[in-house]
Amino acid sequence: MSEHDNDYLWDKSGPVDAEIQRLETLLEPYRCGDLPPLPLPKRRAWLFLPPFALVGAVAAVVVMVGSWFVLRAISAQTWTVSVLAGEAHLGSLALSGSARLHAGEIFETGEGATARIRMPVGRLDVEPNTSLRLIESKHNQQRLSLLRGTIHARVSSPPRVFIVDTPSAVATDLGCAYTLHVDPSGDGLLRVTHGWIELEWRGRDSLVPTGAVAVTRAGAGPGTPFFEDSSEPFRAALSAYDFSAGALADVLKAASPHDAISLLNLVRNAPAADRGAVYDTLARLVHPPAGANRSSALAADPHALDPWWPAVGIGHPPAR
Amino acid sequence: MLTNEVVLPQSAMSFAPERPARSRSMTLPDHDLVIAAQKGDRAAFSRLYAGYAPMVHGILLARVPRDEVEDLLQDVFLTALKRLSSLRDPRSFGAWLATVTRNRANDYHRAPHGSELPEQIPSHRPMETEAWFVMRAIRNLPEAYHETMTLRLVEGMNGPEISARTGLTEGSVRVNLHRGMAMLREALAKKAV
Repeated sequence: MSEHDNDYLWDKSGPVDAEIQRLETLLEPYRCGDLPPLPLPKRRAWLFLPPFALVGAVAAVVVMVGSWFVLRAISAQTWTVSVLAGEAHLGSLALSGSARLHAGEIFETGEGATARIRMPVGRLDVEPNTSLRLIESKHNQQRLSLLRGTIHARVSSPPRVFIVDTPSAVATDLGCAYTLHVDPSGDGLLRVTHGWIELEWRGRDSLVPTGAVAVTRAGAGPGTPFFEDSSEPFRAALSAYDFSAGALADVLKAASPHDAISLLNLVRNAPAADRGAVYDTLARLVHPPAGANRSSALAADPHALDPWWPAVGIGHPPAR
Repeated sequence: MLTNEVVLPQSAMSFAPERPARSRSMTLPDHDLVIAAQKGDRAAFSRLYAGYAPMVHGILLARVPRDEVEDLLQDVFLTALKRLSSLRDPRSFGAWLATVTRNRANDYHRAPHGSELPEQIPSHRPMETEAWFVMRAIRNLPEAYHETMTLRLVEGMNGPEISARTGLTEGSVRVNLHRGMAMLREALAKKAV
């Protein structure tokens, strides 16, 4: 049967084409599903005026042009929250559909509730029992505070535009997708699924690449990033070193080449007295790349580790 | 801590398309819905949203990453609502909306992105993995075919429906479907080898 004789392909009449039917079934998960509520702006009557009526409004429009540019800039930075399931609150009011989220407002999801927030730079999926506050939405900075709960962020802006404050770290997007959790005590967990995140706390910062996680502790800041499939002894030693004054020697003893990303971050953040041992372990596990300079690295030269990132197989972090 | 700032009640700010419309727009044909929507009948626009969302979804899916489709779909309808008064012939709503959708997809690709996020590639379930490869094969078809093929195989629209919704002639849709399907079979056969 030629394609031109294939009535099933054209209007689903005639004998069923088994291959087409198989593809239809296969692709069904991609089909348009339940439609989310459409967040509409407040109704403006002028949108529906017939064209001739607008002529009379031209003079007023001229007067308002300056204001229009301002409003346009503001509206381009709109955040829209849509509740997908369950009960949520925007400020003190219950919300069951969609609404705009303004700077300063707190959005909270209840038990079993989920929501999606559309931002100018991407989107956030909000898990149940999450509370967040929009700090500011400007063209060069989109910032929120995650008070508790879990968000999944997918960001498409240039680096350093989207920032999340948590009680124990500031997460700066360097172009990526990630999950961030904050528990009621203020402790947190970052899991990067694509790209890079910079975690900062009181002058100490860590770079977390795709596939890595970082624990944050209230009052202590972010721990050293690691891969979740790192060995249990390494992870335990690292946690003890970061948060319980554990021995660096235990970390270095348990480290493997797979843990180079952790060692690179330790070179950046460990006390000066510890950096040499960390660097030497790194150089033993991973062949030092061209341009690697031990003394610069130990002196905390911000670019000293640049040659190392691609050498450990994770590519260059975005320009910082 | 909750703020005391007053926000508009939900009913004033959004609607759910699946919610039954209360106005007479429930039974109107599309071009009358467009006219009603141009006069400010939001229930009519809700009906258009529900009726044309699969077309918009399919056009976007053929052009942008799957994860972006839902957000862009909403953008398209919000843009359409703003510009609806400029549409002179209500009978060309589908073709006009398809053009708005293609333009939005083009804008998406022109906009600066910090880094292009990868499509989610399912890795554990063979059916999902195969679906992902089939979808990729459809997207790789020539532009004339990938949109029509997506509307047919993914959105479940038949040829006459695609023609009625997009404004393409039935002859064009038929050619796109037949040539596109032949090319897709060829591409999938090569992959199987």
